[in-house]
Amino acid sequence: MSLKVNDLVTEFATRRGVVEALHGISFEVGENEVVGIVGESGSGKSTVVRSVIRLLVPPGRVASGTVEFAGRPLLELRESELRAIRGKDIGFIAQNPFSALNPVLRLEKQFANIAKAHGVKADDGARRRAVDLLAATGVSDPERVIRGYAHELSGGMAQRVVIAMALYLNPRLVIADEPTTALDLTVQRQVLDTLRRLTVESGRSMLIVTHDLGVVNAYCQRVLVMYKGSIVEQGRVAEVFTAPQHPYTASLLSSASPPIEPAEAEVVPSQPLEVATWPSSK
Amino acid sequence: MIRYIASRLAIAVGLLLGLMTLSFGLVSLLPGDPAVALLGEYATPADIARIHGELGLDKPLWERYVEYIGRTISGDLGHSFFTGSSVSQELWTRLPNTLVYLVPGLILALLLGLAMGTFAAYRSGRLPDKTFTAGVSVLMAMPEFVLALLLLFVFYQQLHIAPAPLGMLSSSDIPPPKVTGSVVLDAVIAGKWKVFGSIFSRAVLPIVTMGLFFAAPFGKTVRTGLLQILHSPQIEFARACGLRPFQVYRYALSDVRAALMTYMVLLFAAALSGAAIVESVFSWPGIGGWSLDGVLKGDMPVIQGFVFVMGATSLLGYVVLDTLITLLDPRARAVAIRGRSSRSSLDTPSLDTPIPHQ
Repeated sequence: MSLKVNDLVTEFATRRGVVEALHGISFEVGENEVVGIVGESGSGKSTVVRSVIRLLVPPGRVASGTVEFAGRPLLELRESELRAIRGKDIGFIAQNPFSALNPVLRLEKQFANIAKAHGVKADDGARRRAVDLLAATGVSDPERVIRGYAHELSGGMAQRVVIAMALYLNPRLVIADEPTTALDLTVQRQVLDTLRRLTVESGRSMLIVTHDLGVVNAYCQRVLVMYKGSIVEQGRVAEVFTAPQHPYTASLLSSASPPIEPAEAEVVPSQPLEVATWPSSK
Repeated sequence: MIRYIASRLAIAVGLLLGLMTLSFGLVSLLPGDPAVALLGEYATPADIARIHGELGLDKPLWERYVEYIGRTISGDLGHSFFTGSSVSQELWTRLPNTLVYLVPGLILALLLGLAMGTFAAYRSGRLPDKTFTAGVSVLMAMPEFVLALLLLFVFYQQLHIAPAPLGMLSSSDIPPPKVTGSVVLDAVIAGKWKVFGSIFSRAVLPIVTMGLFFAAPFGKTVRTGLLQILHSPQIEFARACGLRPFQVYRYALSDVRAALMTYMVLLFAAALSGAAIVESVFSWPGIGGWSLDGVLKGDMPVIQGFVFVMGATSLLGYVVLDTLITLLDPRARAVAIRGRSSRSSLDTPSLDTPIPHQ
């Protein structure tokens, strides 16, 4: 078992007292499994992933529960021990690449900083690996991109850079917080296909937060449906989508446009796009 | 890049001209006749006319204006009505004296503010943060001279560590040979490190006064800026990548950098024009006491010269600041150099734009 979360309670201290944001969440992400978390805004999806790798900043805090990753209790580790896991064994993909990347550092420097933080020498080999990874995520001209800054990229390209950073040190688990929400529709699919290719097809597990049921249907094996800080339903995607047990899941499914066809939804095979043949829009 | 810097300089020159006009206009339009101030209230009209003639005040305003601009550009700021000494020479002698405590004072303030603000931001909402907020309020409410007197009381009167507040040199110090006229510069040029050390030991209390007084705004800026960025997705991602805390702090600090630099220049300008207070407490022979004297007497050339040089120094500071901030930020730099957004240069043709309908 890759990740095992048990009875996780997260709360936020506000002026009017403590508000419980997660009311005892339990779930697992198996080896080489893609699990989706769906739910409306404010249901606590993002809080779950932040609680798991302890990214919450005050006033938020995990009040109780356990998180086990590869046999290690994440919530009990010292901050320095956890830091060694973040970025190395667990990769994190942020929602908006432009607000996640450092705007004033060259991308190669940011890759190097990640390597150094985990005791990896930032030498030519490490740099080449970053360039190769960028190429693998579909960044065109990665040699040039890595020498530049985040603001010089398009949204899709920048998100590929973020993915490359998350995968840089070969993590076993990738946590993606709405990885395509900030992107144009046409790019979303390409990025998700890339993500799948680089995670599941490479033997990694992935926990993906999304509000897009289509994404869950096409990319995940299991799904957690969240509502007001609790998991109201979880199971295999096909089962949950065909026969939702909870009324909230049912209403979520019926509000999807176009309605999600259960069972074997068509999955378009990933196809590298021939960029050069595209007419320029400029 | 050179073109960008040149354009900044051109703007600076234009502003300098404006500043000259302003310093001339403000002072010339002020009420009060320097001749009356010089001769006293019972002067005869003939005497006043004579003085007006000597000082060039009988000429029409525009003629005096043209003359003033011409002289200022050639570096001559006129002579004091009262002492007859050259304003440029006075400034040249006194400005280094002021800078010798002001610049280290501001650097000390920056370091103190950085330390306090960082500590408060990382312990936000807890005791250290609350202590910081209270401390800042106290520091901000305390006038400079009270702070200076307090320091003198503790370190001179009670502990006898600090030297007496009697200026830059003690009577036993032999002044260095005169080269530039400024004791500080001359000491450095002559290699008289003992004299320089003596000056510095006397400057410690003014430096600490400045450091403490200006640490509060720096600390506030650091705290506010860090609190904001520490909750940002950028820092969250940096932490999620497992970067070391110090590296994360450096990422965060690069976001606060521009605000700090702006504050530095703002406070430098403020401290320079407010130097009179600290200098009168420590009997420091800087520009502060001298300019205050000029203002109180209505010594027009002194006021004009002071206003102009302070304005020009601040202006120069702002130009350097503006250029630095632009060049340090790759986003602004790209725009400044190419005169347009650099986006699209690295963009692949249309990965992010919808596929056009055929």
